[in-house]
Parts: sequence; C-alpha cells; structure tokens
Amino acid sequence: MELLIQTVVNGLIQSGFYALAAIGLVLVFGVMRVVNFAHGELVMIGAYTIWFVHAQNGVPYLITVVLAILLVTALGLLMERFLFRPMTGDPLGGLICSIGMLFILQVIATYVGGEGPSKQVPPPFEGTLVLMDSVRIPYQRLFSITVAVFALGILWYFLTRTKFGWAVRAVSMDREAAALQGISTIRVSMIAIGVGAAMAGLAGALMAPLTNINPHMGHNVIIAAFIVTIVGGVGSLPGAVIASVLYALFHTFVTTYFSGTIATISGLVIMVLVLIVRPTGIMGHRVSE
Amino acid sequence: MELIVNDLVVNYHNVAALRGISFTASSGSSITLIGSNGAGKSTTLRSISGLVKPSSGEILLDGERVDHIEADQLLARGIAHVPEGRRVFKDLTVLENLMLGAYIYKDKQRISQDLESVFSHFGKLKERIGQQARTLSGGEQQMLSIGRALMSRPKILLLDEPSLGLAPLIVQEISLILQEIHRSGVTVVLVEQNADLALKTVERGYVLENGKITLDGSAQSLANNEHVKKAYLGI
Repeated sequence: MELLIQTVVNGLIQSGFYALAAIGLVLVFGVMRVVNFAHGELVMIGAYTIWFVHAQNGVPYLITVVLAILLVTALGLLMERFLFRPMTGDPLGGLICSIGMLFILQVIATYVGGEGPSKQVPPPFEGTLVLMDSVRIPYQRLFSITVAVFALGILWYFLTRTKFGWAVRAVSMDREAAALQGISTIRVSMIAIGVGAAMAGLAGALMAPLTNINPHMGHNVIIAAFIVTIVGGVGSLPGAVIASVLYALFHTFVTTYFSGTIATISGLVIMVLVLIVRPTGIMGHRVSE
Repeated sequence: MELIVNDLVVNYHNVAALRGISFTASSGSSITLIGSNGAGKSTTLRSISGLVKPSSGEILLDGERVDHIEADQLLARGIAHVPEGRRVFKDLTVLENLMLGAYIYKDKQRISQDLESVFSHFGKLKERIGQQARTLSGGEQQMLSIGRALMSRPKILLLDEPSLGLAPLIVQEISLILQEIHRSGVTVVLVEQNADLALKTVERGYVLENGKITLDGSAQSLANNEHVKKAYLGI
C-alpha cells in the first residue's frame, strides 16, 4: 500500500517535468508547424546552466533558475529568427535545421562541461517531507512540482483568458485567418517559441538536482515529449498536459514494479497504438482542409 | 472608401490565375464578382487583402497603393476579408472569435459597442456567445465569420462565397444582412458562384471568366443579360 501511494506521488511529480517539456514542443509545432528536435537540448541547456553557474560557481540556486530560463528563452528566440523563420512553409527544412541545432548544443555542452561521467548537482533544498509515516517526498521534488504547476497555471491563464493568448491559439488553428484579423504571425511565433523555450529552461533547471546531467540527456526528454504530444493529440495543449500526467504515472509504475527500460519501450508501443487506433490523440480534432 | 483594382495579374507557380483585371468599387457602393469555379474570384479577393502578392498591376485604396502591404497590416487600413469556408477559430468561443476580429483595437468601450452592433445583425451569435465555434451550424459559423470581420470596423468588406453549403433560407437571411451592412456605409465586395443571390444583393456586377473580366454593368442589367442568364443563372 505504501509503495502504491509512493509510486503515485512520484508519478505525479514526474508529470510536472513531462508537461513543462512537452508544452513547448506542442506550442512551437502548433504555431510554426515545425517539429523542434532540439527541444530536449533546450532542457539540457537549462540543466547545464544550473550545474555550471550554481554548482560550479556558487551562484544561489533560485537566481540561477531565473538565469537558465532567460538563457534558454534567448536561445529559442535565436532559433526562431535564424532557423525557423527563413524556413517558414518548409516543415522538413525546419526539422533538419532543428536536428543540426541539437548536435551543436550537445557539442557546446560537452565543451563547457567536458567528457566523463554525468554531472550531479546537490539538491539546494534538503530534507524530506514524510507523510503517513512512510510516504517520502524530498523537499526538492515538492519545490519542483509546485513551481511546475504554477508555471503551467500562468500559461493556461495566458492562453485562455487574454486576447494575446487567443491570438496564439488562433494562429495555431488557422494561420491565414489569423493574419486576416491583423495578427502578426511572426510576433506570435516569437511568443510561442519564447514561452516554449522558457518552459524547457525551467524544466531543465528544476530537473538538474534530481537527475544525471550530461550532453545527451535531451534524448529521454524528447522521447517523453513526443509520446505525450502524440497521445494527447498533436497541437492540443490541454491534451499534452493530461497525457503528461497519464504517461508519467504509467512510466513511474512500470519503472517501480518492472524496470525503466520496459517502461520506455511500452510507452513507445502505446504511442504507436494511439497512432494506429486514434491518430488524433485524446484531445485532438481531425483537421479538415 | 474607394477600391480600384487596375490591370491586376497574379500567377501561381507560373500559371496565370488573373490575366489583368480592372474594376472599381466606389465609396459606399456594393459590387459582386461572379464567375465559375477557378475563374479567379478568390484570387482577386486574396490579392486585395494581401494574402497573395500580385505579379503586376495595382490595388488602390482611396488612391493609395496597397498591393505590397502584408495581410496583417491591411486590416488597419479598413479592409476586412471574410474568407471562403468561413475559417472561424473552431476551438475558441464565439466571443473569443469576435474579440480577435477587434484584435487591432484596445479601446474596451468602443469594442463592446461594436460587439452590440454585431449582435444587432446576428442575434443568434449572442445566444451562443460562450459556445465553441465548432459547435455552431454552418450558417451560424458564416454569421460568426462576417461578425468577426465587422469587429475590425471595416470600410471595405470582402466576402468570399458566403452562401456556400448553406440552406436557401439562411442564404436569404445573409443576403439581407449584407444589404443592411452596405446601407450602414460599408463598401461591399461580394464574390459568389450563386449569381442569382449575388445580383439580388448588390448594385453592380462584374463577370470573371478565365482570369479576365468579360462583362460588367448594373446588377439589374446583368441579371437580364442573355449570356449571364445562360451561363450563371441557369435560366
């Protein structure tokens, strides 16, 4: 029973990371029709910032979290301006550029951090919250999930309650019709990738003290983000969040009771099944052109 | 506001869609372009609203050339385009769709006045204000698309096939509303395959065939023209 509750708690905490990472992928795909393969590397750069600036150079953790968000946001905006904007209307071109970017960022991380074993960052928040005598939640994880939920809440408010948020969603539904309302698609693209990258940077910064940091950690992130995006329905932000929770619970359960490898394999199998049985995902709608 | 299209040529991938058409919609007038599928009607509207860049020719608004301006900038000049197929934002509510029509404006009081004026034309939309656009019927979506365009306070309203796929009764209703909008001082440019409806709605018409204007005149005279009767009215 304790193991069950503990696993649910672990799964819910994990879902925050998945949602933060997936949301950017969904936003950028929706608005720009580009699959950003370098999105996992944005998370990695966020984590590296914590390792390099906080763990190596002693800058306080919370300041470094903000720094990581700013740095990764800037990186996202540069990618929009110099890779994706010139490739507008060419999804394959954008995809290839993003794969190139993925390698560049990995090499930069290797250059900064060197080769060798994965980096570790000691958790800035020590101690553990113990519930019902046996369910343990380290304060670091509690902090991470709180910040993640808060960030997703702000994003949700922006997208559903503000005119600019509606404009972002309008562009992802119908670019041309949005332009006919006077909405600048370039500005909305910058917002989408900026917000998506900020969330990725935050995900990396929150994950850093809880995971192994290495130049290739983006792989796991992007695989999880793809599964969540496809299961949730490509282009659906609420779908991505719901699928993040479901997939995180699933992955955590399978990891706890079987193994991490089996968890990832079965996650990918589920993704393929969703593509066969319900290609629109949980929340997606058929697109009629 | 006066719209002049002068010798407009548009090519899609080296195929001519418009082969040099010219027409005028004088300030406060209402005109229609009629023609069969592929005659170039949509392309004409898409060039005026900046979605398509012409290869040559001019588009003038009150004497000022606008054919190089991007679509999202043209709205502020007074052009609103109700695109073919309605193109409402389906996951957004009726209200959110209408608010995006007023995207370029900030004055809340003025926007809520515009909203009331849209509801005075389209009472149905008020009843459905909080519903997602995808749950509306085809006719209601068309009304939403027109209402959204009105929210930008257009001086020229371009409409692309507003009758497409709608029941005759609703088509009638939309025709009446377009006449109301025209009477309120908006220049109306209507593109229709339903020539009968178009000629009953507006004052003046142009017949577009294979990317060229082959005939023009008052709506009345076109409705009585033998060629128009045979080719477009099915009489």
